Amino acid sequence: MERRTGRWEVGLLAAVVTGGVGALAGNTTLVLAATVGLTFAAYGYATRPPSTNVSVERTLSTATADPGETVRVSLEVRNDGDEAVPDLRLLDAPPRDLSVVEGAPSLATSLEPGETETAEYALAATRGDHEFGDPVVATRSVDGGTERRWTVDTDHALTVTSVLDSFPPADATVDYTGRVPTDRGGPGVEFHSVREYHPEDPPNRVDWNRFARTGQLRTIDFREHRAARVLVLVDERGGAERVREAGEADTVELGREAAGQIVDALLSWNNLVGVARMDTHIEYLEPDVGDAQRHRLRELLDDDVATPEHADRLAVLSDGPQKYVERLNGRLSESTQVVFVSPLLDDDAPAVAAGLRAHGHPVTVVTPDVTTAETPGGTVARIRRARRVESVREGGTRVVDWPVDEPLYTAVERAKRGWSA
Amino acid sequence: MVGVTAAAERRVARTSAGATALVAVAVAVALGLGTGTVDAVLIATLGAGLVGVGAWAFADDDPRLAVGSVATAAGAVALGGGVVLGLGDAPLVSVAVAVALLVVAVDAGPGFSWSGTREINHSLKRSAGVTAVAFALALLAHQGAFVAVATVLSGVWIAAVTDSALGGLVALAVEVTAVVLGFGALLPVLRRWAPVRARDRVAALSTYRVTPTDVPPWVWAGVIGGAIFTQFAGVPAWFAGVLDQLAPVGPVLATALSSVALHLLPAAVLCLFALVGLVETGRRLVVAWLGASPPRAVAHAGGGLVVSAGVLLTLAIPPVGGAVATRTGFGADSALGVGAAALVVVLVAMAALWVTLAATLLFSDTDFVPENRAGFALGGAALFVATLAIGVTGATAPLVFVGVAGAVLVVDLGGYAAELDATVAAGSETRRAEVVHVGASLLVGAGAVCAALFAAYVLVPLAPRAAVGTGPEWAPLLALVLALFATAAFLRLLAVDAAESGE
Repeated sequence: MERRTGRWEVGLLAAVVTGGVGALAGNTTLVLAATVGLTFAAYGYATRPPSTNVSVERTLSTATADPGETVRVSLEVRNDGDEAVPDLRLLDAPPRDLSVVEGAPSLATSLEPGETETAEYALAATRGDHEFGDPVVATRSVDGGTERRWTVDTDHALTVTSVLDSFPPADATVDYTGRVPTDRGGPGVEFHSVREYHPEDPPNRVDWNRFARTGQLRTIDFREHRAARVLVLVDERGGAERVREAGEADTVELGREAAGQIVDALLSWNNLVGVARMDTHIEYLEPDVGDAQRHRLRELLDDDVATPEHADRLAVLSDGPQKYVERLNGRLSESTQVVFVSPLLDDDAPAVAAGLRAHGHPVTVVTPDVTTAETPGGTVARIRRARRVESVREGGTRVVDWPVDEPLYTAVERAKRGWSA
Repeated sequence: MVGVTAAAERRVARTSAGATALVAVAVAVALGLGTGTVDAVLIATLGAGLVGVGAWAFADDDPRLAVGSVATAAGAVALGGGVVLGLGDAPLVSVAVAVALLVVAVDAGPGFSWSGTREINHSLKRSAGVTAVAFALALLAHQGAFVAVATVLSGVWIAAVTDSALGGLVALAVEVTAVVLGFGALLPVLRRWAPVRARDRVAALSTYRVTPTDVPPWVWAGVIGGAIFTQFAGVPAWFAGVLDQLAPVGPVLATALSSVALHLLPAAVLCLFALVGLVETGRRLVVAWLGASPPRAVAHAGGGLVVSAGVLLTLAIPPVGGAVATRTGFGADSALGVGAAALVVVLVAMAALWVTLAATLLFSDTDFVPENRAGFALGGAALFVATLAIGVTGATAPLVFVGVAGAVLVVDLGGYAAELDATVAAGSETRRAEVVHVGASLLVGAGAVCAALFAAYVLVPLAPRAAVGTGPEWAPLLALVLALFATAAFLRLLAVDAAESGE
């Protein structure tokens, strides 16, 4: 699109006024001063239209980033023509929900033929898929009287997510082969113990070296790896729908994302995994294994309203935490452990964790931290939440305290060091 | 377009904004040289620069209110001084140049915006309030009002006391009543003033507190009646006669009642009470004036405080005050009068500054100029008007040509800067494009001046002169106007043609 900016009409105006006043006053000097204005006006029409022969290329330091990571964007513009571009303005269109933390997504420059210039800036990555808009290029003639403006088609997106490779369940296991090390001996690879030989023992587990030395048959037991039965319980109660800052994911979204990552990690290690969404009622999907279960779990976590086909809807008749515990405990087998995803923003959440633990289910609490110390109220909420985290931890429950600016796997790794200590 | 948040960061195109300010100053100095008011222009330039500094200080993310207030008030004084200095030689040029420098300085800084100008308004309002109080005090002192009030009050009191024994008695009754009631009225104030540890002890004195309703009616009747009776000629004489008959106590009592010595103590106490009352009243006024945010109020008033104190203290220096008083016709002993007059000038300068900024802001809301270019447009227009003014009065051709070129350049370069600010994001690199545009515009401006000079000094002398009386007198004028009209129409046609061609 080309347009005339009309910036030199002021020269014409000056010429008309000076000439007019000079003529009326009979003043030769003022009449001749119109020459100055006319020269400016003529300048506005004498220059050539600006070139549009420029190319723009955007480069991202990464197309996928972790939350909180700084993503560098480089926007290079090159004059591909044979003549200089005296005034070139380049405006990038970074995703609206990402803030520029360094540099500027625009520049104004002049370019000789073949010359390039680069606008560099950095974005603070926040969770989600972010589309870049098309950069706008505007070139102007040297006098600024004519402008050509167009957009450059680009196709850039930034995916900000984090992937959890593994999530160690607690020790409770079921009689399925999995990857949770147990204290029992049996088939496996890690040495556990040597016991008396039984006739039904497979030959490859007989300690033949000992037999050669002593003439006695002994059988080697290896540490058995079993699967765990895990229920990922997501706290979606009304009070849990908090957000740290406008535009960011709320605790329910964060909880579902954490649950999704945990489900994937647990399923990939052959565990039996189920999901329950805890709100005014409970959407419950029985733990199971396999890709079909992964699909069902995803469906349950992605669905906002209706109860998916394979899930059960458990009514909760009153609000008290004990009701949730009783309702869930009625569906959980003894060996089922619970990963409770909750922001811990009220006192009921720790009570649910403690209640499930009291019924013999090992509990791991994963708690996204959306509190902020920027306001007095936020500071109070932060202190209260920290106390709840501490009380849950003191009760013997494993806790993953997840600052949402960092990937979940970082928080899990940090928490694991505490569990093994 | 990319949004820009911080006001102070709005100015991205600093090179072209700075060039605009330099061109404006250069043109102003040239006009000053041409009109013999260069000293006034330089002072006005200093004032505009100070206002620009103040605007920056206010627009900062972390506003420096005191710095902004002092700079704005000092700038107003300098601008006003510049205008006053130039009024004698070239009034229109002085005013136009001062306005141009001011609006260009603000627009080259953070620019004009309702939110950004709010702080300047607060500052000018607070500073003007302080200056007005300083003016009132200086004027009252100059007029001897304080001394006159003290003289009148003490004269009335002495006359009442010494006139007659009855008068002395009534005065003593009034004094004692006033002391007792004054103590009761000021006790809460004294308690508030007392250190925390001593407040309970002061509060304990409230046992002795007397309010007007506690005073028995017969006391009021006695005091009021006595005061009335002193006005009748016979009553004081009758009272004196009664005292004479009570010799030897009566005459001694009459002498004591009519002597000042007996009344000195209650009078001194009453003076002290009056002082306490005045200070408390002043304190309450100051608290009310400070409002909800005292630090902000004091910072905003800083300019007025500094300027008022500076003016009065400077004029209090005998050689300076005397010289100024003599020169302005106030008399060698009227430094306070000169100070009061100077503070009036300061007030007028502040008001003029406020009006100019407000008018520019209103101008920016009209359709005549794009919103963010009002200062530069108005500055260019003011320089243009100043140039026309000196042109009409017969200034030299080079000066007029430079003035017109400078005015156009101020509009162009300033507009470029403002447009760039509105286009690119804060922190963008723009210098190279700016240098190209500024350089080209300055070259064209120089070329335009050269072309005009060529026309004036080469073409005009070479042009054939028509013999006198060969045609009507209005013919050359008509030819010139038609030529200008034709040129304007031609250029307009070019513009329309370009637009219709769909380029």
